[in-house]
Amino acid sequence: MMKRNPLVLGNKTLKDVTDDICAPVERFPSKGWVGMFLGAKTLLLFYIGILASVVGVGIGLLGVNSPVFWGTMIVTFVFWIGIGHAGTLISAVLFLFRQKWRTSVARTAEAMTVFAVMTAGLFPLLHTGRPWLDYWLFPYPNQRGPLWVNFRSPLLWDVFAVSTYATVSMVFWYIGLVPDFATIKDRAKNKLRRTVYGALSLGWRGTAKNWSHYEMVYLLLAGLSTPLVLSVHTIVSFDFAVSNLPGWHTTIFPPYFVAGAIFSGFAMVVTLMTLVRIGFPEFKNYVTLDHMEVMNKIIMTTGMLVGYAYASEFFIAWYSGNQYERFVFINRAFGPYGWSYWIMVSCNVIFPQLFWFRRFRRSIPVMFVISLLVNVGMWFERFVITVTSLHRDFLPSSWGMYAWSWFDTGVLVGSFGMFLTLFLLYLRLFPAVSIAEVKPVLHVGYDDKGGHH
Amino acid sequence: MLRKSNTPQSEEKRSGSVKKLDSAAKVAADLWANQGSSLVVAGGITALTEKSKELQVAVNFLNSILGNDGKTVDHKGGNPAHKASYSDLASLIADMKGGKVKTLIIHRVNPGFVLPVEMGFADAVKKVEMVIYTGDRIDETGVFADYITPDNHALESWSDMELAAGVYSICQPAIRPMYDTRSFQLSLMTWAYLANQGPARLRDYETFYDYLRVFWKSDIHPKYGKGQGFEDFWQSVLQKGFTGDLNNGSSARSFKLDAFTSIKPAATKEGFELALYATSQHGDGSLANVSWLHELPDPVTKAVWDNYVMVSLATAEKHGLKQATVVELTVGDKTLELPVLIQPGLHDDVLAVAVGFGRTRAGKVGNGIGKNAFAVMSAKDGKVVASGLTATFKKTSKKYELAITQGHHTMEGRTIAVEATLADYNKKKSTGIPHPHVWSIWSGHEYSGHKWGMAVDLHTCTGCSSCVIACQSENNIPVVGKRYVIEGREMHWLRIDRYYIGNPADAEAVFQPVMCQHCDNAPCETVCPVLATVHSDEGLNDMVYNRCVGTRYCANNCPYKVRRFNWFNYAKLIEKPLHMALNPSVGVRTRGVMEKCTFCVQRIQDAKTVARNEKRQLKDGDVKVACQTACPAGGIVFGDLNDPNSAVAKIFKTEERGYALLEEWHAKPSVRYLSKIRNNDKESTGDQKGHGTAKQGEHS
Repeated sequence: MMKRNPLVLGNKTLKDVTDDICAPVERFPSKGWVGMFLGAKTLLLFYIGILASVVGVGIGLLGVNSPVFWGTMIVTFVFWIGIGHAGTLISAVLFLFRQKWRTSVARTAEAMTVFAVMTAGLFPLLHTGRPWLDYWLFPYPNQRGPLWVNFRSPLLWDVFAVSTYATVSMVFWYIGLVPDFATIKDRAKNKLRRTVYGALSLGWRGTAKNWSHYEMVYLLLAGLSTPLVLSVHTIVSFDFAVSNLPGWHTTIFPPYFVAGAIFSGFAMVVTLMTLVRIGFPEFKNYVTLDHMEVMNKIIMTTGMLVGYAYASEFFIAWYSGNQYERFVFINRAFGPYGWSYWIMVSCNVIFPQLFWFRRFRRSIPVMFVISLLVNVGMWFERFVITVTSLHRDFLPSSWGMYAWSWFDTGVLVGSFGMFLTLFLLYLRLFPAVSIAEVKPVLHVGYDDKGGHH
Repeated sequence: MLRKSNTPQSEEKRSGSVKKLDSAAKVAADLWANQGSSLVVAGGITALTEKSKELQVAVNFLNSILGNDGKTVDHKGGNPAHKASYSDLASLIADMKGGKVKTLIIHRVNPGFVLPVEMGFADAVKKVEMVIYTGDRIDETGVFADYITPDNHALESWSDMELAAGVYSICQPAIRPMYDTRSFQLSLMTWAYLANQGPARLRDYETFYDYLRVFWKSDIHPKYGKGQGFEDFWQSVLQKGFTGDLNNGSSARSFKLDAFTSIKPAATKEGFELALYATSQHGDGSLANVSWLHELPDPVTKAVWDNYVMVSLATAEKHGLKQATVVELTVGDKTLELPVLIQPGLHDDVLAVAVGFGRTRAGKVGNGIGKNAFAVMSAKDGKVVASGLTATFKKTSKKYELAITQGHHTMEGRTIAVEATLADYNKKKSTGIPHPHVWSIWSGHEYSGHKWGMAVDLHTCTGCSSCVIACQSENNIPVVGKRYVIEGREMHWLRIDRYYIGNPADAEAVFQPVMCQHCDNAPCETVCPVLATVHSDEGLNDMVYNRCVGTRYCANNCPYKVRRFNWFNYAKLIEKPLHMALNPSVGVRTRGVMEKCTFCVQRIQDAKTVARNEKRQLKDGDVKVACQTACPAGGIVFGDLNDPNSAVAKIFKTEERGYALLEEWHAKPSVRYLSKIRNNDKESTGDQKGHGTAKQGEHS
């Protein structure tokens, strides 16, 4: 039998694990955390200002125009929704496949999912012309006679997909947190902390019955979440694929979008985990280079899947014989937005190839840079899909360019403010690694040969 | 004159190369072949050359030898009111300078703007003891006045006019004067009364209406009344709009050949020829404060909110000019800084600039839009010279962004605006018409009552854009301003696409009005999540503004890109008294709402109500949509496709030039285009699609 590296380093005892993971929640925040939080919070306030102006004055503050009726908000929406996928994949799919290495990264990956979906969810709501009427997109009983939502519209499917996804991933995440909240409650030294974490732990006692129910619920929720990994981005891709616009109207979109989502999600997990390892050095024993390496392998694999999709799209455009379809793809690569296409290709297909080499897969600086590049590339992928298809469609008389304004920049950059603020608060308030799940994968009680001490 | 067209007048200005001689010979041959039914014209600002009289002599000669005199040329008709000349004005200015004019009344003319400095109006008017200016604003001439007497708007006053010799009309007010103004006519009567001067009848009446009626009773009614009583005659003129007959008794005149003795061939000049022209939107700029006109794309350049100097592709290349580079234009001792617009099909030796821009006292909207090209005209011996001026230019390092509504100028080989030559058409009427094989597994909508449809004839369309303004006025369409046009937010529900065809240096243009095509398989309808755009049982693609949340998915899915979005709250910017210009039958749209052509659904409803009140069925012609009524060429036909006898149904069924735009996409539009037939003697090239021409840069 092949010898595996231990999943947790440093010969930790069960108490060490609890102490290490609870430490960031219990001690006074470090200067580094405070600095980053202030930065992120400032960005969030700026973001709120930008969104308030857009809602107050009009969506015209952004660069959307005729013919590019969808722009930064939709691009960034798909970007963040995609980011979310890695969390669900790690926490649910890998759970079902009994991949034990997931335990150290699952919690944070899932937190990332929840925050990414929250960040993403704002965009389709705020990018409408009249956001205060967004509730019309939900099929709720009303007194408007037969007036109802249009079940034929992919945008409506999107409403259901994203709201389901947000709900399920939030519940799944929360259920996983319950035993750990109880741990923090038990360790609490003041009443407020005890009360708050006590309430959050929903009366968890750690009894065998508790654990039995917990395991079953967790398994069921994992089962519920798994199809969502595929369905959400499939339905997001329908927004494009079901329309009749060349460059959008393709059957490859669902698998292509899912692969891209997992790709970008894992890249974001790597980015964040690298930062967590720097910010909380004690976590280096839990989130080890082995973990990072596995994720880098997934990044490379999905990167190539995405690359295959790019090639396949081109081939089909040519093979279809449809002049509009052909034009859109040639225009993508060699038209006025060609630069964005080549940023996408190089970041998503070319740079991840470095992960063929073990040295790079295990190098923190290399993977940090590549994971950032992948996310840049994936943002540009959505930009390429959305903008370059719209800006030159059927009638050349209507062709135009996206009128990028500084509000677009504000929306894009500001959304990171929202995400990072939530994420930093999470690191400070919630146990960032699942205590309950890490303990079973410890080597405590086992020797290197797999036998008992 | 700016663009190489096939109209004879453009040939008047050609000179030089062999190619030009060829085309002159071709025009001559065409004219000769059409004796008695051709027409040679030299008019407008482009005819104001140094030798404008000689030009007219030559034109008269051509018409005379072509036998057009008395046939296409009616020298007895015309408008007798348009007889004043620049030399009359020059002598008035001389009198003013000489102190001979004590009181000068200026009524709704703007010499302070349209005259070249050499005419000396500004100096002369200062020598006049009392200058009275009547108009609707203190414009470039009004500033010289001692007294301003605000005139009524034309819609607020009674008036009459002689439309052509022997044809008279009465203008009836449509509204009470909105402000404290007095009509010019009443002012004259009042002054005559107070001064106790002038003909008695001027002083006898208290209102201009009384005076007008008495004048018509005594002067017009006896001649044109045809035995009617005066009251009946008056009412019938008001209803009909005019009385009298066009004087068609014009006969051929003999041309005096000795008129030619004074004509000498023009000396060839170095440098560029400056072509000043009046645009179809602005003319002389007197309506420069109307934002509709500023945002109406120029039929050819598609630029809005500016004037510019047009140069040919070759000239731009030769001098390293780019679109929007600012050049300093020098004409004699005058200079003008203008951005460059590269114009396919323009003559290489011509620089063209539109007049009527650069008003300084037009009002809030029109002030400072573009540059005043009247300022580079000159005057010689009391004659304004606006044409044939020599100009040079100097490139500057400045850039000036132009707002152009159409950024791409060719059809990229797609079948969009179909055209064929006359030779093709004579062989096969449906030359170039696409017949894609389309089929569907769905049965489609049923239209048991009316089914509205429209036919647009590309052949009659000159791109004049009257339909665009008619649509804007009918449907309360907002104006967004230059900055937002640059950002791609113009709101026109009906736009005219202009594509260049053929060799860019000698490009021809084809115009295609595009509005909502009211598709049977409307791609917009399926994607709206809240059912804000739905299909009516009469085939209309209805837009429910109240329900629209503004996801803009419909616009993305529209292959014709005819949907327009309220990016901001344009309706809130409507200030008094602009609200009175709104059509009460059509709502204004709030921000965040999609809008588009409705096929003038309010007119359809009105017509139905009228028919119901008259207890009859709706008949063909009851509904006339706004663009249709405005088209001077009758190029737009609208009606019920379910009525087999309607004009539009016949076109749909029988017209071989008819096709649907992007028919292969199977959206099944309710609009048919009829192909353009070019009468240019060319044999079919088989190329309907045009070649690449200069890119002016898409709006970003």
